[in-house]
Amino acid sequence: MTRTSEIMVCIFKADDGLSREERLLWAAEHYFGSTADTIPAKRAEDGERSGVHVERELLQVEKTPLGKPFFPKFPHLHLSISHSGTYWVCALAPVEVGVDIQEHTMNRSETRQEATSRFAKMARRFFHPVEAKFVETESFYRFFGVWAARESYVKYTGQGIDASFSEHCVIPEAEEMQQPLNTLLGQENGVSWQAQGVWFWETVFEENYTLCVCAGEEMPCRVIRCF
Amino acid sequence: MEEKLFKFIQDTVGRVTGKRGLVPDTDFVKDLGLNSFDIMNVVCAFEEHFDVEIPNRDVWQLRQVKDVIEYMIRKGITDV
Repeated sequence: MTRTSEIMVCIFKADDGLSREERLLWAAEHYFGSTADTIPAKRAEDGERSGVHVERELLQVEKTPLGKPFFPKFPHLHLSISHSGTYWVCALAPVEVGVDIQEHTMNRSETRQEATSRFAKMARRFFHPVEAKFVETESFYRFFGVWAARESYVKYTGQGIDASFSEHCVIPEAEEMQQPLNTLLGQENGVSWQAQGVWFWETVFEENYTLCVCAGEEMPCRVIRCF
Repeated sequence: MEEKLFKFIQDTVGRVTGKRGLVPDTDFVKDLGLNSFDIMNVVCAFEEHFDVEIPNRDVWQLRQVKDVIEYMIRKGITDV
């Protein structure tokens, strides 16, 4: 199996009936070169013995004490997992990686205006002051953009949400450098930026999900919809 | 007292996340499938209701409904 130089993000439906292991196996085989577009196609490909086969036991997942998943028998393949709403996502990469998907949700019986005001408040509670300021206007979408970036960052570092969660700013501190994030909506290819010495790539998926990838270096990011 | 706290948690989680059917052993992540955003949303609702701040480091110790009840009692919250 060759080592690729891209980040692969696989999006699955959370209710597709597959186990985490089946999804990871499918994703890993794609990562190493399978071209099947769907799981049935992958199974057909396997039947023809033309696919790329990864032994299931190689993909046994363990977690660090802080909860970051990794493949102990496959140390050069890095992994991150996220879920929200009706989707489950995994990112595979040759470098440390963090991924987050977040549905743009509101509380039950909450108006959009109430939600927007609440998100601005949550931003002041959990975000870095620069991020909180960025979220002050157009709070609804910007909040999810920053939230997904923060989550992908703490998954990348493996720290998770801890006491230092608000200390790191994951967007560019200079306002003029924040411009790409303002235009995230409608950008099919997503936007990328650097902050905290790492690289972020973010996109809006199906209009009401934000998907963000964080890695130590910029590299092509391939998104595969596995449904 | 614990029953009142349990009912409050049940109502708050239901209102914020739409999840129902909680029991004291319910695990927020494993059983309800909540993610970090859902959990922080619930934390904010608690903080606003009781006018307190729950440190981030404490949040991830509260895995089950019963952990939250114990935490609230430890913090002197006995009435909702």
